[in-house]
Amino acid sequence: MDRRRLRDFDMGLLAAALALVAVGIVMVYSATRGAADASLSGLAQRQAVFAVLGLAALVGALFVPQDTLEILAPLLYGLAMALLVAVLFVGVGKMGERRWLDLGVLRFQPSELAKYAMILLLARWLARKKTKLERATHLVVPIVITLIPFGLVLREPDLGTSLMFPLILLPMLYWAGARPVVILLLLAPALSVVLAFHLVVWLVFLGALACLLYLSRVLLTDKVVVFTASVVAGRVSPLLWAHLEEYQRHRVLAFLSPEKYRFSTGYQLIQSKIAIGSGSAFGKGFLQGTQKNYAFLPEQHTDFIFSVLGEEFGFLGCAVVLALYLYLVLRMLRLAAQARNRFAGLVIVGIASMLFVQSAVNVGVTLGMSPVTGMPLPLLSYGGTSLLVTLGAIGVVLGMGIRRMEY
Amino acid sequence: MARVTEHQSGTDTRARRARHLQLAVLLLFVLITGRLGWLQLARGDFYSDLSRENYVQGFPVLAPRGVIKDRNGEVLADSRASLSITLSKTRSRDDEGMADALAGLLEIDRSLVIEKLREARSRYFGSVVLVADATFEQVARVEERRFELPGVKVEVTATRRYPAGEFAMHALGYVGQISGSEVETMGALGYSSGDVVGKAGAEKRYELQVRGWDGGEYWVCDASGRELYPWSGGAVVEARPGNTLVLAIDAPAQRAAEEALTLHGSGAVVALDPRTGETLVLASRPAPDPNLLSYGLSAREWNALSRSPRHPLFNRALQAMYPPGSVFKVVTAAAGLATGTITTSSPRVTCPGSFRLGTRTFRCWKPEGHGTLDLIPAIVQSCDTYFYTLGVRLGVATLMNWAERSGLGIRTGIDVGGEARGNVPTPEWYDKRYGKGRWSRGVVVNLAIGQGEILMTPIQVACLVSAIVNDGVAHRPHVLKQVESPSGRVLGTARTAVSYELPYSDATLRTVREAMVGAVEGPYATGWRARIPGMRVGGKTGTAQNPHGEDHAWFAAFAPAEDPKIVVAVLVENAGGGGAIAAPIARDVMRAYFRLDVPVEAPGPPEPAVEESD
Repeated sequence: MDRRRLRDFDMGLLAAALALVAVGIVMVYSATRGAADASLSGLAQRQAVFAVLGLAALVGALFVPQDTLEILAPLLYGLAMALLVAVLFVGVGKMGERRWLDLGVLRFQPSELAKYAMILLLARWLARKKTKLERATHLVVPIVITLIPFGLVLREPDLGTSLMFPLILLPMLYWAGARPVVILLLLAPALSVVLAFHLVVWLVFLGALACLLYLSRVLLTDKVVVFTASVVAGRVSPLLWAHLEEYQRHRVLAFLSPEKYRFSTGYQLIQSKIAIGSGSAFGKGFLQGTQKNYAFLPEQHTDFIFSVLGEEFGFLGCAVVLALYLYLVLRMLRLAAQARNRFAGLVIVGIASMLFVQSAVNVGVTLGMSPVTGMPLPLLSYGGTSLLVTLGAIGVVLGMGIRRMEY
Repeated sequence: MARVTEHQSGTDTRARRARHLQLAVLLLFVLITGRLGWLQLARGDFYSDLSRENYVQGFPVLAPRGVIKDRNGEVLADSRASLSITLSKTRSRDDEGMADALAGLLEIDRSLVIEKLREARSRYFGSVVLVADATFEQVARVEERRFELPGVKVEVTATRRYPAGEFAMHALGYVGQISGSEVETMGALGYSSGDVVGKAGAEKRYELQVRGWDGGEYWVCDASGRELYPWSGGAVVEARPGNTLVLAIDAPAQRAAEEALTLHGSGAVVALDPRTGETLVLASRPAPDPNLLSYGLSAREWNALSRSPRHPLFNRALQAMYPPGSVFKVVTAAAGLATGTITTSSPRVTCPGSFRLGTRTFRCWKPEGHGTLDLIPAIVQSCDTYFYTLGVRLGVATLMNWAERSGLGIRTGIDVGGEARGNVPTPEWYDKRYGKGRWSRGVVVNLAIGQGEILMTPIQVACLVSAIVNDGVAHRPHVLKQVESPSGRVLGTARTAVSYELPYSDATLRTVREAMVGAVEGPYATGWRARIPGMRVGGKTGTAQNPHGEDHAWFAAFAPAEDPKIVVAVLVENAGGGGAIAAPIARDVMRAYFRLDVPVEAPGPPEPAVEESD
């Protein structure tokens, strides 16, 4: 790598990512220190080891040419889907879920790989010159690319991760040139599924949609397709609800009225809010969190690591961490804007979206703004594979950033 | 050029889209930060409180109930340490599994565990008792698996103990878990579900004196409810034991009464100090063991007890109403003197062994007759014919009017509850019962000798005699003597209060007393078995006719005759004559009270005496 390229290296982005990893190790240490469960001790050291391995992955990813990634995309996607199918048959997990492949030395979560594979294949498809995104029918291929992993992950079942796929798709479509109204129309059936739980609200929504469709410059057939899809989606909504796993239904119900489920699924939400709220402006101090120390906080080193941060470092600590994430995402979007290679731009947007959605949803859960999804906070939550893969992805972004002037 | 333009437009488009996406990201982060600020900055104090409530738990330090002693300091009720298995507010998310585990481990009903788990959850402070007075095996099994049972603890608590079992049970009462309705009425006094309160007797009446004041301490607990260490932020409130109740009961006298009653089956003895109303003996037999009642009987055991044909829960001393028999003759005599119907010397009535009123003949208890006698011999020998004659002269209305004025038909006001009123059948009462004019004026013949519809309780008989020997003043009987602090400082003494005053002149009262002394000490005395060598005793026998079986035996006594310090009323159910059965019991009680040795054999009559069997 020559001197000019080194100058193009985004040091700020790397620094923000490494700062978050460091905060993560510190918080994992706090969350697992003195835990009654002996298996939790030493997790901070393991996280540190994975951080070093992740850093190696990051450096490695810097050197992978973007052309290679573009060529490999379909292969990678095929492999990821095959693994997702495999996990449904030979996967392991707790409480009847099948999420991991047991490789003997370590457990591997194919859905993590599937997210990147989908981003690469989508980017490859959307980067093609002849790809048009003017009509709803033009979206069929991207939707199919998204729905396959979405459906397979939903079968595991892992509702939280499965929702990531469509949430990554939307910004990438926008980046690729889809008009906002088209994206909005794409969202309409999904919104319809949620709103159909309340008849009046749903009818108002359908009315608003009809008005929007009437006013928008969209082909009549598209209007009909979107409206029909929304009506159908709304009608089958109760069926989808019935098909959810018991615990998933409870998570949604507990989100809507946590007090009613305070001793079951609502417990986590309530305790997390108490932990964060009681941290006040400056927190209770490092290692001093009572919610954490006395085990009121569930999953405190994984999904609820942000609650530990909130309790021990207060608003100040949380704001700093949120600012780091914001910086990371905004910085990536800036790199995407500068990237002359369409594929590279789309990949960066996809990865940025994934990081953003995952961190926003995780923090939203801990703050009681979203139902519990069981999603880790990227870079902070304990989890070797996740840290390794995320740092690798950041390496890809940094590498594409160095080459952003290349077509 | 075209390439440059195309490049330029592509850059512009990307920059615009990047700005849009950045704006969307920024907006969402602002939203999240806003929510964070709301929770941490605006509501921080609220959540700090919730967090503290999570890990700081208050535990009551139970205070033992006060000791109850007799007037001589003998302990009648105290507390002993026992182990309870309790449930504190638990965050176990698996009630079903917990219930299964506990029900199996403790060998108790699973539904009870579920109920108690629910109760524990609804409480913010302290714990609920799952098993009171747990066995060693139960405690050992819980301790073994302590870490699998969050919120389950073994606690040392003070359990009420009555060292002498059923001794003085009807005066002491017993304790039990507070009921729902009691929580409602006593909640303002600081009682709550799970507390132990007095259920009867002095335990109930003096609940507020004898209750202890629970203290409290705060502990830091983890999510499983395990106590980690005492919380430094909260004050420890010391538990204060309840006050000591010193009862007026004289244990030796009470014991003598109970032993005698137990020998005869069922009955009651009440002894009062006529000068103060102090209740020296309040015995009723049979009686249940208050220890068993206080630990909580099962529904089956409770049913067996409450439906027992011997009615052990029934306090015969206060609640049982019987015709007073010849004991009532003292009222008839006093009414005769008060109204001037008779004097001590006139009329002299001749008893041929029966009395004829219209077409009916009423028999005297002595078929061969008493010969001719005036008032005092009539009382001493309990001559029915004399009192039949006097009754007819007085009439129902007058006799019953004087009975009412003598304190009959009203409650004595003794400080342990559940007292019956007795019955004084006035003409209005008969009119109501049988219809106006549909009853015979001849009922007075029976009433005059204490038979028929007139009913009295043993405590009323004791009170009446107390008034007779106390210059006409009846003091309200009370079992409490004084209240002392746990360290022995006297906090208060039971007040002597007048219950009622007899409407008789001193001369009349003197005459009645003299006759009663004669009834024990004199020739032909029916109550000679109550004699105590070296002490003059007064008394009156009575036999209450019982249509269902053997007669009930009555005896009312006082001693010493010159300056009475004790009045005893004895009632023995289905025992026959009062002189034969009840009088020796009264004598034994008095001897015990005066600490005189009870002779093995009762001395024979030093003078001619008669057996009463009226």
